[in-house]
Amino acid sequence: MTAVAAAGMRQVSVRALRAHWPSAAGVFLTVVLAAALMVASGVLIESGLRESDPFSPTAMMLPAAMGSFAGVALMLAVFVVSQAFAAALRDRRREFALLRAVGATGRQVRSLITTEVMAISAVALLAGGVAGWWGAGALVPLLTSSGIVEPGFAPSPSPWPLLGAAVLLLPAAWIAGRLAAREMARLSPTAAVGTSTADARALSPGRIVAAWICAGAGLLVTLTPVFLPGAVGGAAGAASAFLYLIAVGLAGPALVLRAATWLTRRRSLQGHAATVLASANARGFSRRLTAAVVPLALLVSLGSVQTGVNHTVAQAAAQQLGDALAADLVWQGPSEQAVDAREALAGAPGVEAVATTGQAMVQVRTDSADEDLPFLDGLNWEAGAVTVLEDPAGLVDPGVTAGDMADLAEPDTVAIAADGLTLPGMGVGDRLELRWPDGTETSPRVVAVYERGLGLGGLIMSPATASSSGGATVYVETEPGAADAVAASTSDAGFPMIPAAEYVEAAVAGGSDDSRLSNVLLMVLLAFIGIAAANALVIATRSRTGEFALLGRLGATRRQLRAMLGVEAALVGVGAVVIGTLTALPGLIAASLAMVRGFSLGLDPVFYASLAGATVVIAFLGVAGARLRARA
Amino acid sequence: MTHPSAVSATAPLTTNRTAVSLTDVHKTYPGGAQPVHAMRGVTLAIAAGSFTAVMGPSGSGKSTLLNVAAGLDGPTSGRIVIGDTDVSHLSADALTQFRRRHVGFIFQSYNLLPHLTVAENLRLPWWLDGRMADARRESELLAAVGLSDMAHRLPSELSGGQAQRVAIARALATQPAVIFADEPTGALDSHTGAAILDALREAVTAFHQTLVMVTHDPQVAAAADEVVFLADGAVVDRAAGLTAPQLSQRVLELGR
Ligand SMILES: Nc1ncnc2c1ncn2[C@@H]1O[C@H](COP(=O)(O)OP(=O)(O)OP(=O)(O)O)[C@@H](O)[C@H]1O
Ligand SMILES: [Mg+2]
Repeated sequence: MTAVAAAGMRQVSVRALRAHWPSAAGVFLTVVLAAALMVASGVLIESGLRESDPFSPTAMMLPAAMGSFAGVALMLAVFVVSQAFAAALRDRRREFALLRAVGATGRQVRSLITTEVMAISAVALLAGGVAGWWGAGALVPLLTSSGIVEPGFAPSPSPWPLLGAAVLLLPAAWIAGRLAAREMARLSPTAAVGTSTADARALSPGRIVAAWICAGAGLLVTLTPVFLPGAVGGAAGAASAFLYLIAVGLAGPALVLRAATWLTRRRSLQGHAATVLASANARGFSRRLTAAVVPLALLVSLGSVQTGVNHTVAQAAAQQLGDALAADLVWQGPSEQAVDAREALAGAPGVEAVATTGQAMVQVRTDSADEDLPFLDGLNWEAGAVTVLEDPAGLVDPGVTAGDMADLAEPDTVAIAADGLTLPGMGVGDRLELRWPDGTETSPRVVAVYERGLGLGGLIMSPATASSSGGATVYVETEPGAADAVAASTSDAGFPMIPAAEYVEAAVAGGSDDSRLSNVLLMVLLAFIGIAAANALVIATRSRTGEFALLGRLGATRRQLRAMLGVEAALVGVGAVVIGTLTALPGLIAASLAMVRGFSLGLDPVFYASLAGATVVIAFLGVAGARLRARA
Repeated sequence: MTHPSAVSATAPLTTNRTAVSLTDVHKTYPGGAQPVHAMRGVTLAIAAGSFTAVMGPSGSGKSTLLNVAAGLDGPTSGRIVIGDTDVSHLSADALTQFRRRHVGFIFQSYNLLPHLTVAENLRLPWWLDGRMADARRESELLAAVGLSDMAHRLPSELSGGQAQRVAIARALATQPAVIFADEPTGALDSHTGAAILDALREAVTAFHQTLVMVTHDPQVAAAADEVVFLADGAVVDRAAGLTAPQLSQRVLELGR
């Protein structure tokens, strides 16, 4: 192809971009935000990994705190970006069909689309990189106040996060463009002359198979926590919700078609022009509608799963801690006083038994070292807290499933939680590799495995192996009915105690700063999905100027048009809430079954209601926004 | 093996006397409840340099015939030869390449890419072919359809007739051997339509091109060298030298 002709085809691209700038801008914004999310979390994770002191809060907590966020953000970003490109390109089917009719080969159409997709993505990626760097900086005050990083922390500049985002996002965009281009290139050139712009009806068999595979994979992920309770967490729930949603996205057009056909058949709805038109539109534009519903459903689904599962985990931790403790009263204080406290409390009248616990920081090797990327060495060590348990005397029962806690009295021994995800397949007799704050490395032998890991933490040692630092806790069991008297007398002696129930509640509610951080991060994710969903809706409604004009010529009043759009927005909003809830439920139910006694979805009704409300509002705003643009 | 791209764009295609020939062509649309047989064994030879009109009642398969003959749509079975090339056996890309060099097509509407100017729409066939647009030919064509002063307008700024004239100019752009037109003036008033068809016919005659046109207008068909009548997916009659009233009579009979 000569340079001049290539310039000609470039002209075609540029003109198309200019003509479709609203949807191009929407897609651009989506990719910018996706890249920003990934770069921001990447920058923070890398800063944590690069931290020279492995026991500083930055190194211990930052990668973990941002890691789970990054995982969800990554799935979201890839999903949302490919949806956005698919929706924007679907809008231009007729144009590509005309190009085919004029003599563009399938390859030319594909390369036109790929060039456009990659150009938008590359520029957006750079803009997103800048935004992400800025966003990481904006998070620092919150991270500092949560104690996740030390005061004075500044993210370290590096090209890796941007490269990482590029490696993940560009292929996703490329594949989305490719899939859309495949559909366009397969279009018969005569599709351009067909006066109908309605979507193709039949789904390809490959797509249906893929939908079933995703649904099946979702089921597998959902069931994981039932067999492997430790696997549970926001990520597993989110992953299952994602898989179900991708299945819905793939099979969506067929589902929308069924639902709309059912709706149009309802006799009670006949006679209302708006309802009839709206459901007929849903039938004719099932793909377009799916593209609008799925991102909104994702908002409901992810919001519900993340908060619900986190709540369930906290509840399970409280139940386990409560079950493990036979104590009635609890004293907490600095570890220097622990010995005195223990002596005084043990000697107090009415006390039957006492046990001391403390905490020690440690790092557990989870993987063999990788020499190629030394700074990634941080990834092979997982920060953990060891519960240092002195003379449990039956007061603390971790629920041993193998081995014997009594063996902890020997030096260089450890008990591990059965559901510790970082140590899969470890059993009695195996050795862990640990790294201590003073730089020593040890490899204690596992002597017991216990099941109450959520309540007591993943590792238990005796003072023979580890010395605790920071705070200490003394559990006290009193003679029946003597708790109040004991509490009063020891309080006078300078060792005030709280009831065990109160202690459990406080221990689990834990750092509220920590939950403030995760709330902020969740809000960031939800805002991202909200924007992407609104954008998808605007794209879906935008191309309908011609349709509105035709309806107007046929005698539809503006009021009828508005009512039709209203019904459509309601269908989209309610559909999204229903689908989002349905895809979130399996993960929530599985988490509840796997972890807690009694049944609880862990969903906060107020939060759920606001999610659902926001979803419906976005549906209406998106449709209204598109209508305004269409008229402009 | 004759690779289609080896066929030069300027080489005369019509070495024999038949520009387009269809042999026992069937086209079936796989409908939902029952498939639609839009073409049932059409056999037809169109002489090079001739003007052939295709008439028939609505739904008789005229558009289908044109799409299939022009290689826009594949036949379910049968053989289609344009010039010396059997297009029914070309791969999709080879067919597209062949089509853009040797076949012009004018639809009833939506012929122009909305975001390209008139001149750019005109250059599209060259661009797609990886060639430089021929500026002299471009202005010649625009002048021929009377749009010289509108080269920089967007399709949305044109009247329906003007847009159709751009489509005609584009169909002529690469000097294809055969031009297919599906009711090119169906959406226009008869006066404008007649003027546009005159322009088309003149251009075709001047360049010795073959023109196949679907039309409902007996006046237009009366000027054709031959009229092909379709009914229910089959060629039922071929006629030459009929007057306009005779033609409308024939179509009316077919419709019954
Ligand atoms: N894509 C399609 N899918 C299914 N059936 C089709 C399709 N296109 C055309 N048909 C059917 O094929 C038959 C021939 O259609 P065609 O468009 O060729 O008719 P026509 O002669 O051009 O009619 P008109 O004069 O109204 O344009 C019709 O019965 C039509 O319903
Ligand atoms: Mg037709």
